[in-house]
Amino acid sequence: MKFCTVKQYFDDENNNNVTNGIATTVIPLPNKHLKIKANNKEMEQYEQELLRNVMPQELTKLILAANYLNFKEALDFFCRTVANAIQNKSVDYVRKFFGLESDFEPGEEEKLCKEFAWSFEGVDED
Amino acid sequence: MSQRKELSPQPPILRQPPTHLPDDVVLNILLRLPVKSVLRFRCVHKSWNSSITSSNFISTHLNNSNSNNNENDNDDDRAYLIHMPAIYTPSNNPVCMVACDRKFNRISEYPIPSELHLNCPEIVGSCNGLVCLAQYGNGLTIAEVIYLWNPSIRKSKRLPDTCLSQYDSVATGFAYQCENNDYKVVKISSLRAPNRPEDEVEAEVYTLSLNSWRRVGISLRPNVVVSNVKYYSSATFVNKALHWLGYISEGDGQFLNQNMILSFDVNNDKFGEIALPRGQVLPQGLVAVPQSLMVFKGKLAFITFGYPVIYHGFMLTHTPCFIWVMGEYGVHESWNKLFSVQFENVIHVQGCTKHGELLVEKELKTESDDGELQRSNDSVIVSFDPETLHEKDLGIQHLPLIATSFMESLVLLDGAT
Repeated sequence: MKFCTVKQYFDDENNNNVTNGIATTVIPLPNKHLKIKANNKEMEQYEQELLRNVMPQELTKLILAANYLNFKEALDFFCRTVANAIQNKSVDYVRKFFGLESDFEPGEEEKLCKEFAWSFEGVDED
Repeated sequence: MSQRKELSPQPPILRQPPTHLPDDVVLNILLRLPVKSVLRFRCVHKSWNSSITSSNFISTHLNNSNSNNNENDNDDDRAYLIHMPAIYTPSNNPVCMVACDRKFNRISEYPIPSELHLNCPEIVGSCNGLVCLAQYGNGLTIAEVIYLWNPSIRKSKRLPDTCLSQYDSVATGFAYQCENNDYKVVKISSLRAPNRPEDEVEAEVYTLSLNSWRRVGISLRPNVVVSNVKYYSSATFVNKALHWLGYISEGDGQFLNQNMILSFDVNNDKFGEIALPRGQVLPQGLVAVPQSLMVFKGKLAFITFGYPVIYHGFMLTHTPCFIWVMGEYGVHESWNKLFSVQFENVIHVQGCTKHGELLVEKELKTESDDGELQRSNDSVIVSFDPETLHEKDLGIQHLPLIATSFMESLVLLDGAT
C-alpha cells in the first residue's frame, strides 16, 4: 500500500520539487532503521550525518514528504532528529527553523521569558 | 504632472510547496524535548505556549517519558534517587535537591525555593516528577504544612489547610491515580479523644483536581478499630494503594495494638487492612518488630528489627533483620521471608531502590585516640544489596530526605500557584 502512495506522490505534478534526495533518503529509511536499531550510538551517528548533509529547509521537506506518505517510522525518525537538533537552541533559532515569527505583544513575551529565565541558561550560541 | 511608476512585470507566481509543518508534526517534535527546552520554547509563538500549557500536552509528554524509560533497559543515566537536606543551615551554598543515577553519582541539581525550607520536613512521596513535602504538626506549636513541588519546572503549590486539626498529624501518603490522571494526598491524624482512653485515628484525602480535602472514614472489619499508625511515617505506594504500618484493636479490649498494614485504595478512597505474617521469635527471646514498609522490586515488603533494649532508638546489638516480601498482593500466604540480614549500627531503613537496594542510615563510628570506637552524632547513608551483601557509602551528608523515584516532567505547569 505504501508503494501506491509513493507512486501517486511522484506523479502529482505539484510535487515536482521532490528531489532525488528525498526518494533516496525517505524510502530506504525503514531498512536502515531496522539494521541499526540495536545500536543507539550508530543511530546517533547516522542522525548527525543526516543533519550535516541536509539543510533545515530540506529537513522540513523530508518531514512533509514522510507525513504525506503516512510513513510513521520515517516521520518519527525525523521528528526525533529535529528534537535532538533544536533542544539546546535559542528561541530565535527555533523560530527561523520553523519559519515562525513572534506574535506576542511586546510586554507579553518579556514577561513569559522572565518567568522561566533559568531555562535560557546554557543555550547554544546562534 | 504625475508620473506613474511602471511596475516591472511580476514573475509568474509558482505554487509554493507548504513550508510550514502541520500542527500535529510540531507537537510530535515538542513532545520529545526535555523539560527545560519545552519551557523555553513557550516564547517561540503564542500557539506553542497554549499547546505546551494544556493538560493534554503535559500528560502526553509524561507518558512519552515513561515509555522511553521502560523501553531503555540501559537506564544508567536516568534519575534513580533524589535527596535533599532535612535541616537548612545558613550558608553560602545554595540549597539543592540532588538527583543521582544508578551508580549514585550526581546527575542533576534542583534549587529548593525558600518557601520549602520547612521545619524538619518529610518527603511524603514522589510521583511523575512531583515531590510531596510535609512539615508535620507537633501537637502544640508547629502546624502542619504540605506542598506539592515540581523541581524540574521550579513550581510549587501549597495545599489548602485540612479539615482536621493541623497539630495532630501522624502520617501522610502521596499517590498518583492513573485512572483519572490525578494526584492525591492522604493525611492520618491521631486525635486526643476526651472521653476515651485511646486516641482516635481519623483520615482525610486531598485531590489535586478538586483542590480540596474531604474526610474519609476508616472502617475495617466489624469490631476492629485502628488504634494508631506509625508516627511520622510516609506511606509506601504500590499496587495503586498507599500503605502504612499500623495498629488495630479488636473486640472488647482483648486484642490491643496488634501490628498490621493499613492500606488505602487510591481509586475508591477506601481503607483496608493487610495482615502481617506471624512474628518470628529470635534467639534470646527477642522479637522481630516490623520497622519500615517498602517496595522491593515492585512488591510490597517490610523489614523487621530485633529489639532487645532500645537506647535512643538505635539498634545496638547484632540481631538479624528479616525482609518479608508479599509475592502476590493481598494474598496472605504469599508472604515470604526472602532475606535474613545482619546489620551493624543501623539507625533507620529509609526505603528501597528500584533494583532492590536498601537505603540504610547507619551510625558513624569514629576511632578515638586510643583506638576505641566511639559513638558520634554523625550518620551515614549506605546502599545495601541484600542479594550480594554489597554495601556502598553514598556520600550524602546531613541526614537527608530521600525518595527513590524521580523523573523530569511538566506536571503542575497548568495549575501551579
